[in-house]
Amino acid sequence: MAQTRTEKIVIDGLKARQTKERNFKFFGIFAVALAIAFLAILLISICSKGLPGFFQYYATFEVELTRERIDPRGDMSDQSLFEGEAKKIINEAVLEFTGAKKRNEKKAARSLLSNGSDLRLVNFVQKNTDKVNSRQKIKFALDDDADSFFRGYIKKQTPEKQRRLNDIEINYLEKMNEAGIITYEISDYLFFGSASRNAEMAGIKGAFIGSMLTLAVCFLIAFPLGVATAVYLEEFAPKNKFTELIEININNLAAVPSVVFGILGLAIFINLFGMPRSIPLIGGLVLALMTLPTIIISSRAAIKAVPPSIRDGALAIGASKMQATMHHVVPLAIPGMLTGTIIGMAQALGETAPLLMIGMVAFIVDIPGSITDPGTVLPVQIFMWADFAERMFVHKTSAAIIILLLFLMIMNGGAVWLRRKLERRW
Amino acid sequence: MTETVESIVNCKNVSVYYGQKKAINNISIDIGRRSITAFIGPSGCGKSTFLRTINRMNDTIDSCRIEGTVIVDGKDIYDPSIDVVPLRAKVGMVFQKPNPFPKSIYENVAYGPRIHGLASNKSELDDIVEKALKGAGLWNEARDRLDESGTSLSGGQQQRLCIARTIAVEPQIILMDEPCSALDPIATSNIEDLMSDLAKEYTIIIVTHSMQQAARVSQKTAYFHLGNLIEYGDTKEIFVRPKDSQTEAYISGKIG
Repeated sequence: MAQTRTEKIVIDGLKARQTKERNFKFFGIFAVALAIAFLAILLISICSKGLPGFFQYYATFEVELTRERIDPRGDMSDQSLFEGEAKKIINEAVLEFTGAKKRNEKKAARSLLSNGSDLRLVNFVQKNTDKVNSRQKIKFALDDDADSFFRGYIKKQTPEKQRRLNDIEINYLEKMNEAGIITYEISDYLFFGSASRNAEMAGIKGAFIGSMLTLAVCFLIAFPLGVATAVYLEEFAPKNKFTELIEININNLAAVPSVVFGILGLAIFINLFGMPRSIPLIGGLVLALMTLPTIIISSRAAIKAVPPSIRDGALAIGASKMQATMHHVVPLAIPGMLTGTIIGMAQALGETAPLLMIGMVAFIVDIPGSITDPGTVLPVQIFMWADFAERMFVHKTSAAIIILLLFLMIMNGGAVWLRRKLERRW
Repeated sequence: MTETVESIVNCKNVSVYYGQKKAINNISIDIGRRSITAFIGPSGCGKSTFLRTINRMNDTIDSCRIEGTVIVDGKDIYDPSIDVVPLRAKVGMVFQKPNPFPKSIYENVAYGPRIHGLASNKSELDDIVEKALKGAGLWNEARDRLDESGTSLSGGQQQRLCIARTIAVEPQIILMDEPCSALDPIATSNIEDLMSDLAKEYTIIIVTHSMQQAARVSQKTAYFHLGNLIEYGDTKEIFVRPKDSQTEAYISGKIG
């Protein structure tokens, strides 16, 4: 069979082409593999550090809930319980168990339980008023040093001077362990506690609610404003130099570092309008500023993707421009708009820098009840915890990161689900 | 001109520009009521552009500018006091590619009457939808599937749905922009039969690339070339004895 000239040249060059293609494929696979490896390392490291953060050690003690001692005023009010002797009752139980006699022994025994134990006892009494005047077994969290001992970070072999627990304390802890009153359980403080300087009591509830409130404000402002802007620019605005300028600026805003929005919020909302610091309302406003460009750009893309034939069809039977837009274009563009919005919100959820600028980094123990109560948000809480030296904060930091990631995954999953549900073919 | 019919569209010295480019050059034409008029001509000759001036669909193109007067049913439609909404309710349009809304068949047809408030209650609306679907010859195929999506129909059915959607608002004129170019021969013949029926009540102006189609359905034919109206007259005359040599060349397939 004779080879034509073209055939010959093509076959000669074939090898070089195939090599190029193979190399390109190899680089692609390499890049993807590298990305997956880093993701795996990240997940493994967060999970190995974070999963223990969901648990902590508790010690169960039997305490005598004498009415007069716990509730001196007899009305079960917060004030009365505060004046009561909850702390003393717990200490008595611990001293009784450990058999501490000497001054340093008593001091050691008293230091083993969390500082928040008296509050825990008071909460128990408030929830179970019928159990007053009886002996009850109540679980108290261990102090973070005692917790670290059971986790193996503090070892008995280490010379006494070099560890954070002395021999007496370790003895008592071992005694408790032998008596079987130490339990390793899911940490209720992590989920229901709020910011605390005591590692064993620190939790994310305050930050989580702060995040929800902030995101709610952000969504309520950014979504309607962003969608309305996109619809106006895409459907109604005249195409001239001015709208072109606006368009370019919106695209540029999407690339502005988020901390700049924080400074803007500080300058305008707090300094100019005199609004209070650290509140989710301002946080939401600042994040809305940051999210707006993302929402506008994705909404415009979604509107552009609606075939013009649909718009023409509506206009041709006499729909006004507004009707054609609202009845046909916007409903078809909604899935894309929502996807963009949720991606923007997810971005806002993970944002720390702009919120630091408006004071949401303050140490606030109270859980915010409304958008005008001071509060903080999850990523800022993580940022603060990462700063603390206690061993337990390392675990709690990672645990909070896992919760943040889960939250993000749920939001992104929601975006995919909404898209599938609302998407219509044309 | 052998027969005299009352005209419904009167265009005088109409020119259309896209930016600096002149797409339609000084066209004057009168179109008769309750008849089918076909616009033919090679691609890019401006016949679709001219069709779209009659219901002001060209307004959606920013760079488009129109000179001259277009009078529909006695009113100058480019008068500043005219709103396009009543105009388009009076002059409906069917497009080249079937474009049903991604809603149910019922909603597709009911949309026009609903936005214009033509029905005062549900049963009236049902009647309008039924009448329109019957008018478009789609009732028998669609009566049991009114809740299904309009996009689930076949191409020819979709185009008839678009016709039903248009006639549901009871316009006087229906503009058809190559309505059969995306359809197979059977669907095309269905639409052509439908057009002849519709012409008893409506004025139809159709843009078509198929000269056979123009010859089959229309009473009058206008031949466009490079933005100019070359020849306009009775279809029989144009196809049998074209007066202009360009028209003859196009019809006999020498240019196009």
